[in-house]
Amino acid sequence: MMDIRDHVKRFHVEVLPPKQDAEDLEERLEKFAVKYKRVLDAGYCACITDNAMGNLSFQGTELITELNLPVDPEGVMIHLNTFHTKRNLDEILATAVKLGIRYLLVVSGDGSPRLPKLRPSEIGCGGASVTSVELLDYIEREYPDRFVLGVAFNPYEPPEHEFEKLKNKIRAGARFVITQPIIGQNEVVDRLIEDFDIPVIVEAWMSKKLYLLSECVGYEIPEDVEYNPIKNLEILLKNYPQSGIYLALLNYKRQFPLLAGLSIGGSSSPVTGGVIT
Amino acid sequence: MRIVVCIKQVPATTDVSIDPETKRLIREGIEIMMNPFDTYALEEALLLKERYGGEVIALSMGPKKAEKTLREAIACGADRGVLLNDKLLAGSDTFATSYALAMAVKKIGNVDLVICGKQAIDGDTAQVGPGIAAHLGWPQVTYVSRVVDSSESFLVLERMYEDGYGVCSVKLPAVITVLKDINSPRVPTLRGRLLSRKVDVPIWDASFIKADLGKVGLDGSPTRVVKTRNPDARSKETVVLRGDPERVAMEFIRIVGQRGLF
Repeated sequence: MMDIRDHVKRFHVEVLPPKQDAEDLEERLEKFAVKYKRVLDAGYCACITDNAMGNLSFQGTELITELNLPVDPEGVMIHLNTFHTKRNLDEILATAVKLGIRYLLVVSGDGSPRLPKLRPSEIGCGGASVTSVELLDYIEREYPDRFVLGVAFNPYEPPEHEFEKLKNKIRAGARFVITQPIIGQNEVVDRLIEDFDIPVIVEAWMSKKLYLLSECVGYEIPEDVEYNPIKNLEILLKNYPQSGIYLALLNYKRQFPLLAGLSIGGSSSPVTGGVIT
Repeated sequence: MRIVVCIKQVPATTDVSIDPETKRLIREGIEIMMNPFDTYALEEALLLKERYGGEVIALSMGPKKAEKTLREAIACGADRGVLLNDKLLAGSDTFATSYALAMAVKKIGNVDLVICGKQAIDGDTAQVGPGIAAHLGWPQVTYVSRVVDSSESFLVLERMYEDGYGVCSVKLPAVITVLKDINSPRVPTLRGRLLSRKVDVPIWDASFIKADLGKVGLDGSPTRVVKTRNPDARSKETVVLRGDPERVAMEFIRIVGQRGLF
């Protein structure tokens, strides 16, 4: 079994599951399967989201099962959030074990009126609500050492608060971290890497529309800012040679082939500028 | 156990208009969804089926596009769906609607339990479930918050009153309406969704369910919507408190206390 630090040093490519209400479901399932296989064939890690943004979508485990997709334990990561029934959560985890999936990204997640929310009593924890910490704790308790659990880290939140949250997540079983998208270099992420002995995957913002990141970073980015996502990716690869890269590709057809020309673990001298033009 | 779940398609938006002539919701061109309370009814039916076996049938009355919500129910685990659709049924009020649904329940036959959501979020009447029970001559338990005990011949149910909860038992066949406290509805699986796209959803008309045409549609409806109006706009007032933080905090406590919010 591969060491986690070796695992993270690769491209982690987000593959969005089809939405539940897709009219052209069969076509979207086919597209999902093609993307998933391409990511695996390239030696990257396919990361399947869990009802991202609260949009009802299919689960990674059921997609892999129903579409009979191959699983490489180092090449698949499923996201898992707190918006499930207990029964559904257990089904997802049991299926993940059966399929040989090793990596889970555990997040609190985005709810919606149609999504059920786990209750603390259902997973044997106290408190008023279930966050990623309680979910990590439950998975570690029910499936000790079976999964490698990752968590999200937001460098745009007040750092001390975010670091405190991360400590709680690590205590509950987190063994790697995925950051929110960063541009060029981020001081808080640098501190995270410096102070915490945990493998880090940094997310690269892959849309040219940088202003869409405004909500995440907490301040307004003007719409006319020109941004080169591929250049930013190259800079992140140089600035974070020990880290993995998480990619939510906006233009899969155009951007995916470009990854073949890039490698993780390059120059260790920090690079600044050149991303926002 | 053969369970019928009544499902209504409702607008998936609050941005709806009323037809000035008919005084009814304009449903054309609006995205629809399953009435949220009906998702709890469906889940309870599926849980009972898992315990006792049998069949869950999703039943709806409405336009042809209501078939989508029945397929949604099948994707969640219902065994089949039945759509009541006939222009003779159009314009039915809650009395006529519950009559037509009761006739459909009779047509399905050998039904042990009818489960409805407590009300639809568009009409908000909470009358159709009790109406079905009345037309069938079956006992009913409304506002059910928990199934305390069950068997194939009776249910022990906790129901909500205005000032608390009570427990009652009911012999089957019966009609119950459920609250959202009762369970956490499942979301459809991929397997269920794919299956639901292939199954046939039969459409039944008024003559097929042997409905008395004098009891359905606009003419068979004893009630009429004669006038509608928007509720008065709520007055909004923004108070900005400035100055010494301690004084501001005290003033804030005073204001919310005065308004009974504290």
